[in-house]
Amino acid sequence: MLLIAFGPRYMGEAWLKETGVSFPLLFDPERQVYQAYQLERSLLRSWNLNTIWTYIRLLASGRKWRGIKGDSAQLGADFVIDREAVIWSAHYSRDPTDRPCPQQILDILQRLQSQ
Amino acid sequence: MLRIGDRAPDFELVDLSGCPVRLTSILRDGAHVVLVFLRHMG
Repeated sequence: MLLIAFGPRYMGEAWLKETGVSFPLLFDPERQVYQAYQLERSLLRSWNLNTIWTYIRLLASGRKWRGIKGDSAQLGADFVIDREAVIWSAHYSRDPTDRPCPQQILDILQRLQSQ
Repeated sequence: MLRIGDRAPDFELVDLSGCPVRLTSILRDGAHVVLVFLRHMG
């Protein structure tokens, strides 16, 4: 798994430390790869009620607020890519809370492994 | 938007150590890749 972020490195380091995630984190400060993968930006969808409620719950559970560094309208996406660089799954987030179900990703990886 | 069956655009980015990482190099090593694009880190 590769994570791609466009924020400053020190925030990436802090995020990895806070979340315990150990996957490689790559930096795309100019968002050239975001653009190559055709990710969307939407202020309206990035700050919808669902997102605001999610942030409230995260803060209430003790998550640190580090402020917003960078473009808060940038939406995320998740892809599964095989060894031939063919896309097997492309999930463009409708809003920040919209990510694919992990089991769906695992099922696709299992299908790839069995080939 | 890219779709299932499309070719994934190659890229080279740096990791936290400043080391370059190229998608095709990882794929050439035999790995499938899950690529996760993050939002701002707040």
